[in-house]
Amino acid sequence: MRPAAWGTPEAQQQAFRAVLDGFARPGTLVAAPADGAVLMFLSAVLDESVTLADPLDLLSADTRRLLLAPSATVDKARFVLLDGRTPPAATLQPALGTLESPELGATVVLAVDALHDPSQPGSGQTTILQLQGPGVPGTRALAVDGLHPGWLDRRAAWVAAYPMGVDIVLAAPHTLVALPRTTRVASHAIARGV
Amino acid sequence: MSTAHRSAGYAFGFLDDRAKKELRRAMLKAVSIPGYQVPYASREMPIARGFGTGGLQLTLALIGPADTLKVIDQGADDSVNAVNLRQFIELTCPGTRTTKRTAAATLIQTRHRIPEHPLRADQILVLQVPYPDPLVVVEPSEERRKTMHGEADYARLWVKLYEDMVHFDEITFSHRYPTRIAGHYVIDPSPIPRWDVPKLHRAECLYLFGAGREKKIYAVPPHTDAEPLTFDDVPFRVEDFTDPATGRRRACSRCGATDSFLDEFVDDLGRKTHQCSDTDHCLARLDARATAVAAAFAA
Repeated sequence: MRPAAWGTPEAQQQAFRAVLDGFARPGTLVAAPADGAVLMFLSAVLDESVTLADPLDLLSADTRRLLLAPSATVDKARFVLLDGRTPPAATLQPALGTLESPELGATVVLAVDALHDPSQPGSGQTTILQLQGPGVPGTRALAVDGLHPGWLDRRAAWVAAYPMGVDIVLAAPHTLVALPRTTRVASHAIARGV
Repeated sequence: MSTAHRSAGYAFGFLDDRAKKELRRAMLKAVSIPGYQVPYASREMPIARGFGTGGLQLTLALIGPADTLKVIDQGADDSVNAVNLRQFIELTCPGTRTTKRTAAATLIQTRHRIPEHPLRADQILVLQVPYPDPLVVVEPSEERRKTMHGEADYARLWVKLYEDMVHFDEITFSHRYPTRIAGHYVIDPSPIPRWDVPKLHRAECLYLFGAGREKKIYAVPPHTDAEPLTFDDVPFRVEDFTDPATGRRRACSRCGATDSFLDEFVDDLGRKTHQCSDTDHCLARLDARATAVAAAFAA
């Protein structure tokens, strides 16, 4: 049996380079191959030695096995996959790391409907983010379709005590955007699309 | 350079996939927390620790068949460390290309220099780091250094700089100049000369630092503040290449550049001469001049 396209070392190397570029330049759109942005990101970083929490079962059981990562609860997992379209649960608390070891803060992957340039029209509820911080010359604008505004409030609380915090990956079906903990969301406006 | 490298019988990139994934996770956290030293399990490499194993592991976790690699040792592509590392990567990464031209490279591994020509957004510079922690000169305990870094408590480093000013009227870091990244972590930018430190500030490219012996990875993302530690009334100074005899800036004896970092040599007659440290920069200038001369003759 041949491995899925995302399971090959070549695909994972290319995925990682694209993701690394996305993390180095927060808010830029990273195009994902046919298997989708969630698998592109997770396959580039997961193996047996780190934990993944998928409490909503967004991944199929087969995919979950092939990713190799053991399961953990959301508060302990190094990688957490959640749905950004629904509001965050009140008790949700991913790992933030410690002052001495901030790299133990989780990477949270949020599934959203679409990511695009703000000049493009969105569909449904579009959130416009103005981003600043390392990797962003000046301000970079980003439009996200289908992100519940509650996530931005929760993220602001999680990253308030730098260097502790979480790093967020917004994953639309075929695009992803990284929001490391250093990225400041300067303002956000919500517009109704057509 | 040739592209058809003979295979050494290893998997692409020498490292196994588990090692690469760990390096990749560490790199993403390093970029997310600019200047923070992310620990990782540095693997045994077929070169000795201290000869660039940290940079080599980063390069092997990054490189793919679409990459063109340049390896620099002290500004040159032809010194022993650079040649050995380049040959190793050619053997273990079939399909990749190697180059000596900075502009043609997508991935550059370097020891002790940043190329003179500004790097582009599609290039990554990997630096080999011997000592990653700038606080090691003032605090021997790693546990306490980690707390100091987390709290951005660099008071004792400032005292060291102040004592330098009192004793010597000059901050005595000639290379590895402590540099504050994005307003929080202070890094040891590896033994680059002071000349190269301003290149870290709001660059287009991503800088990755790998310390193999000390098992640390850190990063300076593009468009990120990188400020050398200095006092308000003592501005940061780079190396001064003014010739005290003439009062003019020294020039490269090969290409005549007066805007590059110079290495000092003693020739056969015992005279001091100076040459560009960045050999590609020097050769590019010589080539441009030769082309211009040929064009002038042809016209």
